[in-house]
Amino acid sequence: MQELKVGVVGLGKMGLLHAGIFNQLAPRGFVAAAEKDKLTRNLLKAYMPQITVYDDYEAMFEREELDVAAIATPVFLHKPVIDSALDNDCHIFVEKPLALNGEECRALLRASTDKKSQVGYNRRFLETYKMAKQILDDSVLGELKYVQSQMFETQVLRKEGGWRFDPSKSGGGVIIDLGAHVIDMLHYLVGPLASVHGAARSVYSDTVDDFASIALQFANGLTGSLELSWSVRHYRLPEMRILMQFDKGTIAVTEKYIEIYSEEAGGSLKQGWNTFHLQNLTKGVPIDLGGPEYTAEDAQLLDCIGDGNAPLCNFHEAAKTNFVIDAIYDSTNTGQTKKVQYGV
Amino acid sequence: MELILGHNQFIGISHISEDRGREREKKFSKVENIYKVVEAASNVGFKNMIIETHPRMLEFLQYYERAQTFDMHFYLQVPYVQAYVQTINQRGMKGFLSEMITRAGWAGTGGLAVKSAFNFLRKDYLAIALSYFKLEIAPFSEFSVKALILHNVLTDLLMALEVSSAFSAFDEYVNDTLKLDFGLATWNFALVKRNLEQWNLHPAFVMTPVNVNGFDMNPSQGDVETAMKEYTGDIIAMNVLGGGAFPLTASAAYVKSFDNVTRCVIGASSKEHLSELKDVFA
Repeated sequence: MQELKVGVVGLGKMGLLHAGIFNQLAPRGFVAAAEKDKLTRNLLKAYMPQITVYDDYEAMFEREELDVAAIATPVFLHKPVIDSALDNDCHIFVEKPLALNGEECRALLRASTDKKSQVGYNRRFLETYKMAKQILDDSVLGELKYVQSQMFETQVLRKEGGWRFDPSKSGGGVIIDLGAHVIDMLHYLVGPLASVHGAARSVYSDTVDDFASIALQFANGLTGSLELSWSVRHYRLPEMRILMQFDKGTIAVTEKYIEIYSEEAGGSLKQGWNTFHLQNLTKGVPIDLGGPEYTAEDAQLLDCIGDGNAPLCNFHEAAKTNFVIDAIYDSTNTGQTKKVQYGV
Repeated sequence: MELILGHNQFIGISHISEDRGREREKKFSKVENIYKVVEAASNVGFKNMIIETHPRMLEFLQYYERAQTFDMHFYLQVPYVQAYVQTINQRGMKGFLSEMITRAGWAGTGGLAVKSAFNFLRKDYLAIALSYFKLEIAPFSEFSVKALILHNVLTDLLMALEVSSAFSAFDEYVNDTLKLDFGLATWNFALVKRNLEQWNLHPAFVMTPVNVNGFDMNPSQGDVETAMKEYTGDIIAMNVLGGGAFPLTASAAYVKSFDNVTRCVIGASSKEHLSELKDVFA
């Protein structure tokens, strides 16, 4: 692998995770960080003297001649940091969602660049969902008829503070936070959406949505549903479950397993029920911090910088999710069905 | 092979599915149900158990102390990462660090507050982190804890970022101040072995996944097997059965094929399963 210098912007939980991964994946690894919080900067300076720490990301980009910018800031900073990174010839990893809204995404897509980009929709790299994608691509179970999807987590059970609960900084509540993962996966597995009709409710948060129910109409004529909440009990970890009904079977897929019912035997499937656990599907990764999917998305970006291929979830792919989220919020605000407006 | 009873099932964790995790969460929300399983484990010969600084495990220990129909020794895994992650999600890294410093500074007694303020002024954040750990560990210290294990999330992050000074500080603190064995949990054994050798560190043991499928053995099953054979310290095997996804007999044979794996963490929720595990692994 060629020598690549990586700078990380935003050293919260996800920034540290990607810093650790890039530090092991790239030969010159993690060389610089930009972080607004003084205490975090002092920690880095004290225990990682090998990296240069900045309080201003623009200064970092100007001085460090980085190859890759890894961006894990609050969402409202994604676009300005990406703009600055591109001005300084960096390839980009940015945590999901790509930006606050479709308008910001369109501006990013209009900017012409030959730099590689990867957006952190990590579940595309999890083996259970990859297996579901393969079954769909191979049409093993016949035609897809219906999709049910949901993502739940126990996180917000009282009024909380911070940027996530300020829609001007986060882009919204659970619809953009957890919903972005499901919408990206639905694009990956099923395809583009034609329209959405949603209802959302704030229970614990004054300013953003805690619960949402959304009816989905796909461009290929399929219908489906999406249920979201970060305020339900007994979901220790965020869990995304997608149920698909086919001509000749069903698929239920989560982070931990994929369960397939097939009317016929064929390929790796037997007639009847087939269950595959992540433990039986996943092999090692160069470094595992929080799950192999995080390493896989970062490693693919570095590979693509080397071989010229496009990463699986580049800006063009990830922007689609923001376009759908815009339509959902438009629908929840007006009570009307809204068409999804893709594209620049 | 010495078997150590795992604790994941008691706090609602399942590698198989979140649904199963929720079933366990419901069952073991009553600590007497945990006690019954641990008692059954003791009856078939388990002498050690891993616990986390999870509030339910403290509740279990208090129940255990009152009932006391058997003796068990404990490996205490710190920190309770799930709670840390939740705080970071809710309040951000800045909020989490501020809370850590405030608690380490003000909740302590016997000079801890003054010491923490001094550490803050001289930017000795490791000393503050150790003070915070001390608070987290304190309620568990009256029980028969024999070793402290640094959670794999923290071990692996610090190893990946090459923060060697953290491991020296933890090692010294646990050995010299707490008078306990200090161990590391990791999903990246090859990296940990390489760093420990480079930094000349010798934890009492390293706890790491060892299983027939190579699950959580990074960077690859082959690399971990080679690193394990070359490693001169003790290894505790974990994730041996993949939560029930791997075959029992083959899993036991695989773990036993490594000379320096003398202990193995196994989770179980019933008397029958505990007996079966004891028969196959012992």
